[in-house]
Amino acid sequence: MNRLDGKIALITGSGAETLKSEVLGIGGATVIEFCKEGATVIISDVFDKEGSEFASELKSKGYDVYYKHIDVTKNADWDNVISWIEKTFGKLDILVNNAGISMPINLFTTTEADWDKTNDVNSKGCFLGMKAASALMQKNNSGSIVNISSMYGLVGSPYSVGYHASKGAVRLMSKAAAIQLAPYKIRVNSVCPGMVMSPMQVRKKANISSEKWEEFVGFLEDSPLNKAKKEWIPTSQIGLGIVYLASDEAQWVTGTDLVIDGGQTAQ
Amino acid sequence: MTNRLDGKVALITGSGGALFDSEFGLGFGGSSAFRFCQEGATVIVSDINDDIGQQFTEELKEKGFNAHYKHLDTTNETEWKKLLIG
Ligand SMILES: NC(=O)c1ccc[n+]([C@@H]2O[C@H](COP(=O)([O-])OP(=O)(O)OC[C@H]3O[C@@H](n4cnc5c(N)ncnc54)[C@H](O)[C@@H]3O)[C@@H](O)[C@H]2O)c1
Repeated sequence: MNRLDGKIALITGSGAETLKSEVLGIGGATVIEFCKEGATVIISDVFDKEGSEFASELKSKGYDVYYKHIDVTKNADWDNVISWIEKTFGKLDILVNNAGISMPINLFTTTEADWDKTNDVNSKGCFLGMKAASALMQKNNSGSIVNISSMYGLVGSPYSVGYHASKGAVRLMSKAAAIQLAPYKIRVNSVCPGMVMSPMQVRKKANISSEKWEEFVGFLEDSPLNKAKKEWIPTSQIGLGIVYLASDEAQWVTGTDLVIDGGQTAQ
Repeated sequence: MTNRLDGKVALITGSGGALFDSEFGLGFGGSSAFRFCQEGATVIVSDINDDIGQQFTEELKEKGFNAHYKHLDTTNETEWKKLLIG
């Protein structure tokens, strides 16, 4: 398939797992969907060993991928990689701001440090990425930025507080950027996933008591499609939504949210 | 041509109101019918405008697509039943 032929794409938080891992994150799964559609993909993460190995695995399958270190909270990391992309490819077509963290802590249990960490990665990271990438995209007068928010950016829950704030921030900074970048024909959209079985959830399961996990998983029952299918949303399904927004098929789509949550927030 | 809708049977209402060379081009329905065909679907074009709808369906068939025309006034439940159940 060729929906992203000739496109250069940078995806953050996409290199913490390899093909040998139990499950890929949304970032890794998106890398694979992008490769299948013909894109050149720059995998980036803070896990350099895994990220480089993931890139080698995909290269050996004939895909055009590279690994670069980006801690999304560090402006210098963004500058390094964006200038490498400019030197190497002369352009950047797509940025997926996927890197994110979540902790099962609510208003009562969140410390100031927890708040800062969550909002640094999820919210500031997204801002720094849009700023750095759009500077290069502007030179080409085109581009598509896809920011990963969450259904938790649309509604609240008993489980988190800083995460909701950070994901709400992602959605609204996407809309503001969509307006400010439209003169350069750069589109900005966000994706709001629901309950997705990724390493984030695998870790959550390992870190909380089994009762807490049961209570959390009970939440799956709240989503009409998850309930009907009796399963979590696979990461590749989020990747396919991102492919659409990133591709020229979505030429007139900007400033919007693509909600992929099995109907959870429809009710 | 790709195959994102291979094996799917799709009904599109209000898709038979224009032809490929109509003055203002195809509407949303007709464009969707064409795109669905390109992606491998079998498409049931439906409209209240039977003459144009049938001609449009012929145009799709001439391009080698799997298209059928059926009359459907979407405000009429009897017509829905007739079309879906026979
Ligand atoms: N899994 C879900 O149910 C779900 C639901 C809604 C939204 N999301 C969002 O989707 C995105 C991907 O999540 P996932 O479920 O694949 O989780 P994940 O934990 O598997 O992936 C997150 C990735 O971000 C990377 N990362 C963390 N901090 C970073 C930093 N400072 N700089 C660069 N990379 C960093 C991690 O190494 C990892 O590769 C996140 O933004 C998350 O909030 C996930």
